[in-house]
Amino acid sequence: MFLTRSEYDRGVNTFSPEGRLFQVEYAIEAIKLGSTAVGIRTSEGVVLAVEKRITSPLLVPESVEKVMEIDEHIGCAMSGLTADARTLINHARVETQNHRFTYNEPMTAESCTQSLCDLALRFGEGDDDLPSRPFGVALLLAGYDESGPTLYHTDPSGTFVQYDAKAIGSGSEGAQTSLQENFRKDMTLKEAETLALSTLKAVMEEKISATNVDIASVAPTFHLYSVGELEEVIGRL
Amino acid sequence: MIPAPQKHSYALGPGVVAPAMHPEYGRAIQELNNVNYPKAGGQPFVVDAGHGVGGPHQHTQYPYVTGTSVLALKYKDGIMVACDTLGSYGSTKRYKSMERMKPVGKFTLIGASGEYSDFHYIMKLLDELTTDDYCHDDGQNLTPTEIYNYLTRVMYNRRNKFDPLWNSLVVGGFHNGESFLGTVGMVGTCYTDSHVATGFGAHLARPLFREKQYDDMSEDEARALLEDGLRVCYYRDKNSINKFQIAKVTAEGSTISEPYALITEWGYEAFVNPAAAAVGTW
Amino acid sequence: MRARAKRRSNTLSTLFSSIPRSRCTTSGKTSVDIRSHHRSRRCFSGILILTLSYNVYWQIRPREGSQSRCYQKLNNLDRKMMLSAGPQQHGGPTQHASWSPYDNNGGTCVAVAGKDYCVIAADTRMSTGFNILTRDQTKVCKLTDKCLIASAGFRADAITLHKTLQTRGIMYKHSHNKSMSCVAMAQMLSNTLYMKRFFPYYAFNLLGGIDNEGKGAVYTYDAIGSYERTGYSCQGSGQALIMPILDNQLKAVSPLLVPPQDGATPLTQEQAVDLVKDCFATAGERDIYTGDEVEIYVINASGVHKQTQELKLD
Repeated sequence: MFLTRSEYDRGVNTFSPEGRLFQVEYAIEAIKLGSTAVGIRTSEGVVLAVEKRITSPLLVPESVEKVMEIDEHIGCAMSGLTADARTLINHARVETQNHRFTYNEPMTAESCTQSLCDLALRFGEGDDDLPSRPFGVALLLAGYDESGPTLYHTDPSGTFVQYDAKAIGSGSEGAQTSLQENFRKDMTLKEAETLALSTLKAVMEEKISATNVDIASVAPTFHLYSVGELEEVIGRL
Repeated sequence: MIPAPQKHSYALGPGVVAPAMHPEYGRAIQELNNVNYPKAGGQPFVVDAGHGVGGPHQHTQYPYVTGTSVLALKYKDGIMVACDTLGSYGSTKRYKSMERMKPVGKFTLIGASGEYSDFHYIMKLLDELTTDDYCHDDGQNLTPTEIYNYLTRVMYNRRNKFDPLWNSLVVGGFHNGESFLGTVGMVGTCYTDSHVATGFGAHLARPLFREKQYDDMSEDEARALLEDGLRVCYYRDKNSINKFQIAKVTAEGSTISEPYALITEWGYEAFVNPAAAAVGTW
Repeated sequence: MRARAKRRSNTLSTLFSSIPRSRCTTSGKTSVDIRSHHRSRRCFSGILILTLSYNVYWQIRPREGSQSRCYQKLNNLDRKMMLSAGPQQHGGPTQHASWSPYDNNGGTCVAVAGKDYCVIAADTRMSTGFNILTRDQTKVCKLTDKCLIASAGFRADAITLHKTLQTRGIMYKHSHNKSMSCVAMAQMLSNTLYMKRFFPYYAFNLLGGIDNEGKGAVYTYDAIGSYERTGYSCQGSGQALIMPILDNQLKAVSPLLVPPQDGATPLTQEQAVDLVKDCFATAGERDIYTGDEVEIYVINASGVHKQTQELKLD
């Protein structure tokens, strides 16, 4: 097994005889090292929650940015190589703004996700503007459009799937189980906030605090929670 | 920028400059006249052979050897197209056996007025397409509508490049039991109708067509009507000769006749003294 | 000597000799001609004929990269000249087969939006100058199930524009899994027109349809993409004849009202169609570019419905 791998994992666009693209699979592995992120969809909107690894007491927590706004109505949480995510998010921001310019309407979350995934697979083409390797990052895209609240998960293979609740990153296995047990279709946004944080709390190594997590909601517009709002949610745990 | 008027005409009053008083104004007005002249299908093709050559621009500014009107109409069995065989070089009757109608593929026929070399170029494009069709040998051939739409894009794209193909084309065809008749001008102006005519034909022959053409007319009727159109064009269009070809496209394909002459009558009173009926002309 | 010489009248030669030399040198090659002719006149002073190469004047001389600008400049000049033009006794002895990339094929479009419907209509006459090219050429194009466009002006440009919009509508449907809304189409049309700002589509467009809320929508444009959503509008050769009728009958809601008022007209669908028919009958009476037949499309919740009304053929 190991032997076959090392033969076919050099070229980013080389299939193994079993039909696998090892570099893409390795990129997916990279996400499992990333910090945990959780997304939950309710009828009122979508909640994104991320763990911030504060590796040093000297680190300024606000400088760790793992939830970002793409457009007014689309937010994004990430896990993996967050530097790669910046390229993707910049792309998504350009796409959504282009859509507004051309069509005078917000882009749907699905179209935005689709355009991200189109980019995700455009590695190794030799184009100077494109990366030579797969993006080592997974994204949770929270959107609110004409079809209501939506949550999408993308990975380095360019696959995207819609979820009611999804966890990514190092603690994703445990977190996903917890979400499966506790998610209900009729949750309120407030309940979703609590579930998201308690899920994170369960898989985090450090004690949860207003400085080592971030919450954002898209309901119907993107909003990143302030420290005060965070503390309020933590208080509910 | 137009320079501010330096002087004005006493006849026209202050602030109004007579066209001839200033070269800038004069030439602008000259151009104004050109630009507003009806362009598509409705213009004689003037050649100025004496115009200086040289200079950097390579684009066609005017046509050299031109053909005049093409007339065409729908009838019971398909489409009939007609034109004379003259290639004019300015007002010189330069070539007298120029064939301006050509078949394209199995179901279509093109008639061209305007610059003859541009027509050759267009035929080259179309022949490449039909050769491709032949080589594929898949039973798929370009239909008249497809050829017409293709030509529309070719003409329009060349005008976009400011390098027009100086032609008005007539596309006639018969395919799947339906006849097709359309025309494309040098800037891409296009339309389909039961009868069409380019150049002077639009003024001289189409009024006759409007009165007498109907889609179910017999071949003899159609031929007689087209010949009437050709005759009136020959009477009034100095860039034409009495040597015509008539072509038809039917279910059997396209056939183009040998050139022949029409019987003409020049003894009409109006020809002897044309001014008599038009007071104020000379 | 690059161009052929032509005889000019004596008076005109006097006139030209009074033009200061500096003026003569303002416009490139042409001026060289004038000067050299001046010189030749001096050499053969007994000859009263001033030779002028008028035929090199003022053609469209596009060069690579400056084509549209060239034409633009010319066009502006034309417009200015129309204001100051006296009788057209232009001195150019040789008329060139100069050409314009534009033609005006005339025609009129009208659109009226109601609470839950939109009527969009255009005549079917296609003209050039005093010539009727055909009496049966549609100006209306269906872009989506809920959105139609009607364009007057230069037919070849309008066709190209319609094809572009149709294609982009289809591509939108493929990439976004939904039909393009009227609002989106309106913005895209504006952008598409503005992309050709310096070599514009000579097309005057009306976009009509049903918006996302099911209300009737009319968007009206100029040739370079300025647009506005209104309750009713008219474009093309009969605009000046029809617009006052619409204003009189429908009276637009002031755009200054706060909160903004719904622009849709209070008419029922049948009333709107009747009004449109009257408008075209009126325009057909006075405008030579409007006539033959009017195609009226009604867009409502049940789809797009077409009817026609005959107009005068003269």
